Amino acid sequence: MSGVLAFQLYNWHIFFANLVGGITIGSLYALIALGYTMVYGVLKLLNFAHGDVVMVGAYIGWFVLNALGSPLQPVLPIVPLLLLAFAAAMVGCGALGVVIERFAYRPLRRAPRIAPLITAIGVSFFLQQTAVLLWGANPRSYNTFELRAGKSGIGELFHSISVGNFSIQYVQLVVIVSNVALMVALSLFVWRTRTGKAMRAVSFDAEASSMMGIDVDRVISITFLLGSALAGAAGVMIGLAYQQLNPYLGFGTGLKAFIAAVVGGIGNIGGAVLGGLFIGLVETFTVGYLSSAFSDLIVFTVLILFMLYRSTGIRGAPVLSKV
Amino acid sequence: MSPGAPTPPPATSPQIGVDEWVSRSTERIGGPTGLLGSAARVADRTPRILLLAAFVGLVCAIPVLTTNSYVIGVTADTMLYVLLAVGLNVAVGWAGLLDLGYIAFYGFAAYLYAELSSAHYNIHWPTWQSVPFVIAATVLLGFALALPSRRLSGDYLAIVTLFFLEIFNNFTTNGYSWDWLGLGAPHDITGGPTGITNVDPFRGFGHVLNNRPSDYVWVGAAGFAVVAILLHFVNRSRTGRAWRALREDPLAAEMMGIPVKWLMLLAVAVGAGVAGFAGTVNGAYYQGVFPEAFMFQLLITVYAMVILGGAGSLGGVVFGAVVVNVLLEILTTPVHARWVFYAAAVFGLLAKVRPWRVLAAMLAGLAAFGVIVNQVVGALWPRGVHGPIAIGATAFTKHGFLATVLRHWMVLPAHTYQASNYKIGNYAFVLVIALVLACTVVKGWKRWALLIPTLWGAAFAWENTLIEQNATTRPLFLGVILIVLMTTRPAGIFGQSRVEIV
Amino acid sequence: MLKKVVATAAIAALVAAAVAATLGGTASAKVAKTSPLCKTAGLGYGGPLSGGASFLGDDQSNWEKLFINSWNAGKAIPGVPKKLHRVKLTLANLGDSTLNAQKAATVAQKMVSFKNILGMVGFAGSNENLGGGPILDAAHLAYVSGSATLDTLATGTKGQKPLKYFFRVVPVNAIQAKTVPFMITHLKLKKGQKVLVVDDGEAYGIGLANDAQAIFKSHGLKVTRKSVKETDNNPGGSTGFAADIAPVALLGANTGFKFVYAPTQDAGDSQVFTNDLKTDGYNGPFMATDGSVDPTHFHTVGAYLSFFGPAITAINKKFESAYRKAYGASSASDPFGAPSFVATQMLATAISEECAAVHGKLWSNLKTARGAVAAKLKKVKLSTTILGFPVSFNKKDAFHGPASGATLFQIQAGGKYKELYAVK
Repeated sequence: MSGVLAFQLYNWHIFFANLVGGITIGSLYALIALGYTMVYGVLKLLNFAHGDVVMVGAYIGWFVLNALGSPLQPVLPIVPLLLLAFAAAMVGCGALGVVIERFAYRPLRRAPRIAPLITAIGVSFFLQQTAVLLWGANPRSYNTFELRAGKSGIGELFHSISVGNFSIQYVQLVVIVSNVALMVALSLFVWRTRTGKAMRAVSFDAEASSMMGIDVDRVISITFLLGSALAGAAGVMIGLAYQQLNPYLGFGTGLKAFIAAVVGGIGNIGGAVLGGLFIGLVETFTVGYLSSAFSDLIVFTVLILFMLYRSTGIRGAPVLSKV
Repeated sequence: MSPGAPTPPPATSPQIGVDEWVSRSTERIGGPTGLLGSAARVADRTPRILLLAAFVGLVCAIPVLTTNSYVIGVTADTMLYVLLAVGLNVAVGWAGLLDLGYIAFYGFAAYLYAELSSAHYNIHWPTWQSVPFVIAATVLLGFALALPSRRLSGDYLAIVTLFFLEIFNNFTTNGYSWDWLGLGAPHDITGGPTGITNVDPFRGFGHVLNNRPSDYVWVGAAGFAVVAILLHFVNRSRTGRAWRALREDPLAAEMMGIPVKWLMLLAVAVGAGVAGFAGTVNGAYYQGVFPEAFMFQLLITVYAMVILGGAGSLGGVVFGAVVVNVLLEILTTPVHARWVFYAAAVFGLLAKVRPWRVLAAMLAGLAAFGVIVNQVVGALWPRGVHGPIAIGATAFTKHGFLATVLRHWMVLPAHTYQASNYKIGNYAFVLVIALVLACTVVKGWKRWALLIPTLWGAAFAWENTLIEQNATTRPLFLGVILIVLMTTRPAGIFGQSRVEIV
Repeated sequence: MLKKVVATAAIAALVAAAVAATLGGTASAKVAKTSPLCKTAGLGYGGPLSGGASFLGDDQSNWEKLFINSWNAGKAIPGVPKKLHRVKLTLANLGDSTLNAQKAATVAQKMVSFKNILGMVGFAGSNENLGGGPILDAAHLAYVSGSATLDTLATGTKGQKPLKYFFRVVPVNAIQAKTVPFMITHLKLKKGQKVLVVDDGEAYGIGLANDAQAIFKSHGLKVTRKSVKETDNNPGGSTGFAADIAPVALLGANTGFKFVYAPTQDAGDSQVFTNDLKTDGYNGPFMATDGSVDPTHFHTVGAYLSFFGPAITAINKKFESAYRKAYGASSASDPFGAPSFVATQMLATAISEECAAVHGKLWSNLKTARGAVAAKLKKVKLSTTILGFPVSFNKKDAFHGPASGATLFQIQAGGKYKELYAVK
């Protein structure tokens, strides 16, 4: 085994491919972690149901793609097709997030911290089982590998651009670029608009913000809307890049993204991005060089080490609590 | 309090200038009314030891009263769940710590017992030796987990314990060829995905407890009696009071000189000890331990039991454990399951709808609605109402009272129990969710009016899809319990509502 | 006051009814004098009906239902002689064991408490048989699995007692692994060349991968072994197969492997794996096993597949379309679903033959009845089945496993399979 390891260290194109793979999944984790982080910032709530919103987004994208004839005979060209899938997933998941917040979390604003956590777990279970009820537990496939415009041998999205021995797939580029675009858009929204400013104010001190005339309920709803829309987009990207859907995919992905949010510093948007990339790279390199059995173990251990020795994460600032 | 006056809701929002004693005064004067209130008052007046004796006596009588091994098996399972719920109650209910890794202690104990008393390593320790050893080891594990986490609060503790559970699951599933980083031959520690089988049952005083499941009902009941008595005394001692202080306000507790961190460790360790005992009973009863028996879904089930019963109340969590496990088992048989729904609906209406005039109007409206819809659909689409009612028909429902009622009140499409027809039920299910959410939004008479189609629609979804797909209904039911309880009555049935002081 | 009394009475009545309904299923050990079991016999099913693997349980139980409906309706079924007097069947109990061995024990207890059940199809997972099997054994109830392939279930090992009433209609892993030596010759693999073996982290894949690894080693080939856990059955596991397989696919592409062998229970995983291999530049041979036999989900042209039985896509068209009509389009060709039809057929045939043999004679009790069915089951021979080949139990396996070999196929364009080799 060590012989293979040594060999691989000198094999730069494998390293590069692992790197790209790690950045791809890392940016997906980052996108999902943004949702976790924003909700924690305004509500101090760990929204366990977020991963299942990702799953719903992936399914919405599947329905859109299949309704429009793909993969074998798409009605639209690829780019509008994908844009439509993204739009539908983002709108659908945004609405779902708002509904969840309104009915499951709003009554618990003043309850002890344990209550919304448990409700979130209940919502997560509920979403998973409703998906099984409605759509069946059979895994579905995006089949976008087959998606082709023209008669090329391999699906368009999975074509690679190569420079010598180093290559990157189109779909990976799509994922990374859309993630970056969405994150930039979110940052602009949070730092340059009034609503964004209101969000930051509420995450700093909700009670004082309400006394300043900010409609806290509305701000929280918008936070959920944005976070869930991002989750929906992430779901479609998971379907595109990794093909397979099943009602339980939200749990595992959500857990990893959650680790990313915590490691990066929960409540901190830049931290979520950094944490996502970090966890994605750790995971991919572990699978690539060790074994997939260890990847979970190592990621979880990273989290616990952070929790014990730097609980505010990479970018989090120590929080002073007034007595 | 007069029957007609509405009871004040338990104080869940902070009230400035009002302390706990004052805000709970209305509870003390009026108390919960109705059936539940009477039951609670009777239970309060009875000495605890009598309640315990009654419960244990009832449980022990079941293997004597019936020879149905399934029922006895469910009782044994329920006793295991009761032990788990009581142990989780220590950390969650008494000390207010969100321990999401509790099942890892349970699994660790079961695996350790299996490794000490099976053909896996060919060690066969006698029971009086292995059980205390395993319990001690689990308590140590509890300390080891809580020690580095003692500085963490609330959410962070939850995260760390959750991931400890994930690590444990990972280890049990992958621990079959552990080769200590490449040196030496691979060791099979946990048996991997196929687990460890052929575990010894309990033996002592010359007897081997091989008569499953009856023997383990008695073991579970006896163990529960001992654990309950011990925990009761712990709760009434200084430690119990200190835990309550820690739960309500850690900062104030610390300032009063209570060793908060040490108490946290103690709470986790005591819970782990109870789980340890339950783990050994698990290993001996099933005579096999497997990785998938100790995963997240079990944790959620135990949490649902604790929350439903009322975290912090020893009797409450026992009640919760019994109710949830029995309901889940009843839901596995469609013919029995349908009774659960109608019983819950009737009970809910009787308990919540006041005054009786409104209740009578609602029931009449519900009946009328159903009959009207049945007639309309029957006229337009005859096959829509002639579907079968019972699956694997038994005389009980095919010709019984409920069957006749359903025939005239409910719409049952002809091929109800074929998968292609679940779609109608599924869409109805989604519609019912929307209606329920709408019910929570509107107020007054509109709410009662909206409740009628909601209830009918829920019964429709129940009959047409949820019963047949009961394997999905069960986890769905758990999730719904958690959501509904937390949003409407976070204290559970027997718990005390907590007041947050501003 | 009146309301309280009424409410108490109503609740007490409902609770009593529920309890009576449950307890009322008390299993009295005596079978009535007129032997009603030979008029209507009950069958059960045990497997994952909820949770991540519920599609497996749904599939198998649906195929069982299809058989029972067709059998009761008197329809012609391949392998059922016209002269056989069919005992009516009902599906008396569906037990959801969620691939959890301890839940399987509870399911088993419930199964034996039904006084009309003479046989069970299941358990689906090998673990479940380890957990629930001993209870079924103690009640002498035969259980026939359409998907549990762990080699040692019926024969036992150091830590596990043999399960005497366990049967299966799918062969153990060791039989499928016999196609590997043929592949080595067919691909002209030489000593010292590198082979990649990837298992799915489950008992199924690990067993097959171990067998194959030993064979490769004995031929002098260098094996790199990876494990990528299939996560459908373990919702708490890692992100997804695809994310984890990508780095492994890179290995295949760039490190000079001459052959990739990947046993997995999910055809979709094999498709994802081959996609990744192709886009990473690996154009060499790829082989999957019977878990990936599913033309809709795995259709990479040129890939090799091993399977038990002579022809994969020969599932009787009539029954396949009946299945799709009743249960939806997706998994009529799932390799683990249709064998449950055959498993039910074995049980039904055993029950009918036993009833015919003892016509007039009465069983003394339920345990004896079940034991008699199990004894008859060992001798059942089906001349053909909807899978397209005959099925009977193998003497070498103590009559607990099927007498079938393994076949090697290569996927052609258009979803067709070409047979290359059959293990005798």
